[in-house]
Amino acid sequence: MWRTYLRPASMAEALDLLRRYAGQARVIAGGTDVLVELSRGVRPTETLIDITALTELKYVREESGLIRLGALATHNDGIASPACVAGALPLAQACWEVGAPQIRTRATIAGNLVTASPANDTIPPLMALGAELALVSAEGGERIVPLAEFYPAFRRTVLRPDELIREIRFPALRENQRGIFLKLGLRRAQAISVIDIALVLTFDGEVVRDARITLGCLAPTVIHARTVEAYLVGRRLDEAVCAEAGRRACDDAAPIDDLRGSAGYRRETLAALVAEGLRRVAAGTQAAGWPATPVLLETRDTSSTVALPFAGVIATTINGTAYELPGAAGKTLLNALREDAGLTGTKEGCAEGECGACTVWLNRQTVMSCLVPAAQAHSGSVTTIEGLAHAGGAADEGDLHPLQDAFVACGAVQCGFCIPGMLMAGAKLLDERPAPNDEQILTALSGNICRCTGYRKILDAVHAASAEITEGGAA
Amino acid sequence: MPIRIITTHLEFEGQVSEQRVVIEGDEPPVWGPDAALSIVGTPQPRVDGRERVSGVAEYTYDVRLPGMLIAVGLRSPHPHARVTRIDATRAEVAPGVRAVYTRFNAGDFLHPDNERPFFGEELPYAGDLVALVVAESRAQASDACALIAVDYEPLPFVIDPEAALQPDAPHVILTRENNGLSDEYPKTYERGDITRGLAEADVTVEVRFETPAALHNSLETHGATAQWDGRTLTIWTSTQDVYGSRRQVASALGLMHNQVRAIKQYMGGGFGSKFGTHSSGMLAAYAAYKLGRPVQYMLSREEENLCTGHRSPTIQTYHLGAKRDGTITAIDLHAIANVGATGGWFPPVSMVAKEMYQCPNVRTVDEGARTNLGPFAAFRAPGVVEGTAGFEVALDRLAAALNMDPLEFRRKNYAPEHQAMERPYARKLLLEAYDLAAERIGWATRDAEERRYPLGRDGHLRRGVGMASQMWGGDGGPPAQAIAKLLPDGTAVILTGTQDIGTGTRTVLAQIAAEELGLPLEHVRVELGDTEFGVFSPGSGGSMTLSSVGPAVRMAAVEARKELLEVISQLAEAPTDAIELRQGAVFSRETGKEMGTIASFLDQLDGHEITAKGMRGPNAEGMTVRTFGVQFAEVEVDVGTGEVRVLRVVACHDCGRIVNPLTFSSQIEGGIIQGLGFALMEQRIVDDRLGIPVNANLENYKVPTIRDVPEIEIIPLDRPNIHANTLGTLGAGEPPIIPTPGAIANAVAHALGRPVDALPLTPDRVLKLLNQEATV
Ligand code: FES
Ligand code: FES
Repeated sequence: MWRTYLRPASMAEALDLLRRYAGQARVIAGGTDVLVELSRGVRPTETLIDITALTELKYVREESGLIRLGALATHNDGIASPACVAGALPLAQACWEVGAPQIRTRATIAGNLVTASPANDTIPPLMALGAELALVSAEGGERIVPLAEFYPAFRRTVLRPDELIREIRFPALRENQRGIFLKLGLRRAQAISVIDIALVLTFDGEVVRDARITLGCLAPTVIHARTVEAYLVGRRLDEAVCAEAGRRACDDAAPIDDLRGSAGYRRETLAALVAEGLRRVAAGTQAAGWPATPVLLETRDTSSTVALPFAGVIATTINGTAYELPGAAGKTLLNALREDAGLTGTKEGCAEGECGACTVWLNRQTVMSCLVPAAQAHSGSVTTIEGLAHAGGAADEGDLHPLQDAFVACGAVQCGFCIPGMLMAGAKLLDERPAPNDEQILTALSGNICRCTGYRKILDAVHAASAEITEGGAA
Repeated sequence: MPIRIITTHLEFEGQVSEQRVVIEGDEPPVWGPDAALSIVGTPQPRVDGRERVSGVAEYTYDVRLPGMLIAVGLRSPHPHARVTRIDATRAEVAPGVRAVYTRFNAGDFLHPDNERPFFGEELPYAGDLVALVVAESRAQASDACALIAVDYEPLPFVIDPEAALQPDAPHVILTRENNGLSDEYPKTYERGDITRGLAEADVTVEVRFETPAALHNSLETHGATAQWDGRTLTIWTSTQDVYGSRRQVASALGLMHNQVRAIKQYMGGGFGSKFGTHSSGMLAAYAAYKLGRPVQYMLSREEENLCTGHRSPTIQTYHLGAKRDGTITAIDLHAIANVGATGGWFPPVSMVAKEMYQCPNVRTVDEGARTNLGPFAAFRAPGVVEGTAGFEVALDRLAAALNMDPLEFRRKNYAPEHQAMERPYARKLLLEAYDLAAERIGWATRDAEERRYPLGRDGHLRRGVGMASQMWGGDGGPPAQAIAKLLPDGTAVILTGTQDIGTGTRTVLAQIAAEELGLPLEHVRVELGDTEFGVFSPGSGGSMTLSSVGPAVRMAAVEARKELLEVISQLAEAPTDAIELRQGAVFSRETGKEMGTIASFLDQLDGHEITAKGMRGPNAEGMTVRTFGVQFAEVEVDVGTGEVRVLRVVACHDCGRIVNPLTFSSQIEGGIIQGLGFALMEQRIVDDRLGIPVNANLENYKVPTIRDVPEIEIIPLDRPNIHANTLGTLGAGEPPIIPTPGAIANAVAHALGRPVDALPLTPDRVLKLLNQEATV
């Protein structure tokens, strides 16, 4: 896939590398899009420049009415940030709708913008929120580009080969502003959008003063529904207006047929979706259903780890044991674990982030190891299924994690191929909240496909383990 | 023991065949309803559960051998092409490459089952194999693949089955005269007089129903690791059939059977697609044999979805007629199955139409169409899932035309006998199943206003309830063998040649042996999945593993127990019928007192192991043994977006005695979810301009996630079927997937008040249906 893996330790070094490689290298952070593209031969490269050591870029904060997201802010960071939920609900909602939890721990919002698919969920809300991007390069210094001008054409951006997105920023929603993000996919979890929309409305009392409505998957790039925006100004959002706005949105869209949906379907559901979004905003229920404490599958820890410089040999701790993996710098973490560390408990089901069989813990996060460059485990720590019992505090050699025991006892295992990944996601959930409800379990396991069991007994097993843990803890 | 050769009948995947088998000794009497069993029938966690949850279980992919090479395939990007030139010189000298095989150096390597070359000159589908690179690492093999230059001469292609059957259609395979499956097709079955049946009807309906290609997407792909040590070719392969794998490898390489050993300990699902070892296994064996080094060839997800098979797409056209009172007078079905370019058989799409309901006048025409797509493969009740969906939907249309309740209509046309074979069913509890399940789902209130419109008439949600019946075989049959060994410490090992494909075979066989041997479950180990140490058992499919191998294990255990009792009786100087075995101990029947552990007796003999053999006896003659069942589904449809959510499924299946309620219900739940996927989201999408599948991955081929799971209520009918086999049990692997898509489709039709004409019921399709005139 790639041969050279570079991990600059400072912004200056990163920009210098970008300049030197002049478009021959690709920047990688979470890797969830880049690794999929590379395995499919899209935008191939021999060199990856990993910017995750620039930990100063990992932030979501609000400063004098402006919300700022650093280049390394992940989807989880957006979800977990009270500032983002309060001041940019549509963005938080879009982050929540992206992929599986194992993707949200890793995928950065900036990376989502650079992939530039009109189906990328975070683009419509950021556009509706009027975001701008701070782009930096070694030679040009910093320039500011409004997101609306970032996409000149289908899957194109104005980002220059030597440039990096440093920051995304936009004004936080004010008292008199409300917004929402809605999406339709082909199934209930892990779905790429068939269509998605974001609304940001400014009110004068009950009258709309300004409307920004953006549409994803309805044109070659994410677009504004200009007709609807104009129509809504000066109106109250009664039922007739909501429905009419939905109908008019179709005039703004130019959808195409693709394998996820027909143009006709997109146009038809667009009307329903826009009307529904407006109704909810009108009723002030735009945040209904937003989880009070969203499942993240990562331990939130603000203490920054010191990344040791990477010089080609991966030194990492797996299940508490130190490993050196000299030949693995060009591999995914999944392949490094299986081929170089000899730990074959972690499974490959798809190699592109769609099945969850390869789920492991990297540092504090639950990740799909097929989408992680192995070098990102350098100077970090990895827990795999082989180390789960120990990580779960098993006292004796041969004891299992309570969730492993519960999977056996409840008959939650058939062929077992999905199980290591299922357990790693489930055990992290139990770490995060020892007594999860059904909804939280569904969220945590929505990125793990099982083709055999029908999932019911998996649900039972998580509850059973939870009972074991919480009662055990009380005793 | 004297042997005898007998002829018996076996139904496998809807096809009845006559088998000549050797029978040795006599089976024990069947476990009837009164059998006092203490381990069989109880929920037991898997005996190998620990391995499966701790990352220890070794799947084919996990096999690591010293010096192992990795193979990567190069596959055709064209729906139909001829390979005119391959330049592999750069690949051959690339770092780490040990061999590159193409039609120019391995063109004489032929598939033993159909004599087709593994590396053909004519490639009749996108995904057919062009070259295989074998290298020291996966990365090196993939890199080298990219260096191979291939000249393709594109040929005309056809992917639509109806177009393929037209006289002027392009030839899917140049050397074949037409695109039909074979000379036997179209194949017609007829009983009574269909013309008269239609004429007698007061009401007729015509229904065209299409089903998609569903991809198995077993979480572990096909593949194998092979090693040739100069004496034995050992193949670890992800297979449902170790003996079939051995046969294929031996004949492909020209080896004797005793030179090949096939092993499958753990596998990540098969669902019918893994009979034999697949071309990937034979290619790994070929390379290992040629190179003298171990070779692993595991398919990528994309290869898996292009070349290992799928549920064949069907187009079913029904013409049904009934009297005003609801009596069905005519069933006419024309079923086209798209078998792909090289598919070799016809999935029994018309089985249910022939048999499920009473009707004197039936005609079915099976027509197989070849197209320039990968070959189909058996997929969990192949043909019957599709046929049941189409037929049950058509029946609901007929019931609606008669203004009759769909369940009442099915009761009215209940078939007490196997009409096609004119003989009785061994047992049919379907009427009882209808009652129980209808009660549970609340069938009586399915039309109630508050139930159908949860948000009121103007709300965007509609609910519906639908049902479908199920029938399948699954009683198993010979040949299947087992050996029971009792070791000096009183523990037992069971050897068979079957395989546990994830269903829990090891566990249920251990339960059966423990029951007969009077041992605790933990004292029984079941060894299977290895041709070297097992004894013959068939491939695991057709829901027949337990019902074929279970009785053999039981007989072996019974024979071993007999010898054990004899041994104890002589040592203890007590008659055999005065002794009882329980939980590893020996009891006096008279006093109830423990006389010692089994081990304490065996220990008195110098290293004696008791070894006994068992085999599955012949099937009952003169009757048809079937599983019957029914499922009801309740769905909710969002009429704004077309999204369908399945809320509840109630399932009632008669699979005879339930050996392990835990593995049984797991099978039912898994089948229902796969059926739900087929009903709502799963479909291979082919770009008809380019002729290539565009979603051969898990990103755009959607399978259900945990979020799609409905409430599932299982009503067990745990009663031995004494005609099935000595366990009284039938398989539960396939029955649960059979009625789910039909029940969901009928529920959606009920919710929408519109007929459903195809699967899957994607939001897009549902909205299109809503835009049609209401007719239901
Ligand atoms: S998600 Fe990593 S292998 Fe499927
Ligand atoms: S148990 Fe087989 S895929 Fe989950």
